[in-house]
Parts: sequence; structure tokens; C-alpha cells
Amino acid sequence: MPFALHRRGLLKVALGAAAAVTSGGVCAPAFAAKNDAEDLIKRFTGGRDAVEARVRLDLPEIAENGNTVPMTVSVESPMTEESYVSDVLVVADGNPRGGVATFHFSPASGVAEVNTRIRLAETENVIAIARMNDGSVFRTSKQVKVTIGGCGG
Amino acid sequence: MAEIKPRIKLDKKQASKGDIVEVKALVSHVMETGLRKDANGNPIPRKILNNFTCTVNGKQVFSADFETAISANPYIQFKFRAEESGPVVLTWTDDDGTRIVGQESITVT
Repeated sequence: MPFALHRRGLLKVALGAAAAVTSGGVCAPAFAAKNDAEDLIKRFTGGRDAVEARVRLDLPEIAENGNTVPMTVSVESPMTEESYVSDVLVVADGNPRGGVATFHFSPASGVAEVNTRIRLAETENVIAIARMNDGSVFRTSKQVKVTIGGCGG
Repeated sequence: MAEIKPRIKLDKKQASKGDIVEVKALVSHVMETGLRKDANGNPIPRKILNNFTCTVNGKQVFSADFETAISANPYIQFKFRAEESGPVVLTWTDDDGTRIVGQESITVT
């Protein structure tokens, strides 16, 4: 019966799809982010290993409203022509999209420090990575517990 | 759309050469992510301010690329080293290419 065949075919496809999803979930490394945060970091650092130092990320432990979470990023640096912070990438690993912002500094900035308000969809990690003028990279991260997610709708 | 006037505040209007000046700025903008849907289930198109720059007397001192994870009515606070007197110009660029510009001035003695 063509109908039965068709149904069986469909079932096969469905099973195959389910298997693909499951295996993907099992094989994916435990630390894998849900979004493109890791890719953004890799592109930003150019594959270099970031050292856990010099970058400071001030975020609340618990954010009641994920729509507007105050964040301060600062990087220790003399900010002279010889040695300064050129860029800072901020990503969040639980948002629908990983990117939060990229800040660009120069010796004219005087201090590598910026404060803004960000959206966090859920309890997740915020990661800040600083790139120096000599190409070295430093990072830090902080988990924020979010009571009401900032995705709207 | 009515012209948006950003609110800008410098922590000092007069500075000695080499002083660190803090800038705080707030601008009204929906920062629509493009991920939300309206009441009829149609996606609301993305509309954010994706770039911010600050120049002092024509020289860039700070800039930022914003993604959709920046809150509505974006607030930004940063610092620069006072080197010369002149206008402090803050520019936000919308996805549609329009710009919101605000200006203050600094006197360096």
C-alpha cells in the first residue's frame, strides 16, 4: 500500500531526525555555549589563549530585571603609546545571540573603563576579553543570576 | 521621527592637561532586537544603534560597536584624557544609517 509505505518513510525520517538531535546533544562538549559566543571569542583573539588577568567585570550577582543589567568593564593598563588596551569584546553565553558589545580604546582614552546596561535572557555567564596593542589577550567572566529574562515578548 | 536629543554630561567642563574626564550619555532608542514578535505573530524587524563614537576636538577617544544585547535607551559612561580644548562630539549610528549627534565642550588649561 503506497500509503503505508509513505507512513513508514515518514517515521524513518522522524526517527533519524530525533537520533541526530540526541547524538548532537550527547556529543557536544559540556561547556559549549548555546550561541555564537565561543566563535566570537575565537575570532577576536585570533586563536590565542587569553590569560585570566587584568580585566575586571562588575556585574550584579543577581539581576532582577534582565532587560537592563548595569555592567562596568575595566582593564588595567598604563594607556600610553607603548602599552594600551585597543579593544574589549563582551559576550554572553546564554543570550539568543552571543555578542553584547565591542569597545575600542586608544591612548587618548586615558583609562580603559566603560559602563553600560545590557540585556541578559537568563542566568548565564558574561565574558570580557581585552586585546592589547601588542596583541596579547586577557579575559575574565562572571555569572549573573537573572530573575526575569530580558528578551521581551 | 522627531529628532532625538541625547543627554550628555561631563564630570568637568574645565580640566588641566592630562586630567581624566568622565562622560555619561543617555539616548532614547528602542534597541529592537529583531527577535520579538508583534501581537499578530509577525517578527518585529531589528532596529538598534550599532555604533557609537566620541571625538574630542576632532580626534577619536572612544568608540563602541553595540549588539542587540544592549538595553533600550542605551546608556554609556567612559573616560578620556584631556589634551586640548574643543568640542566633545558623541555620535550614535542607527541600523538604517541615520545618526544621532550630541555635543559638549571641554576647556583644557
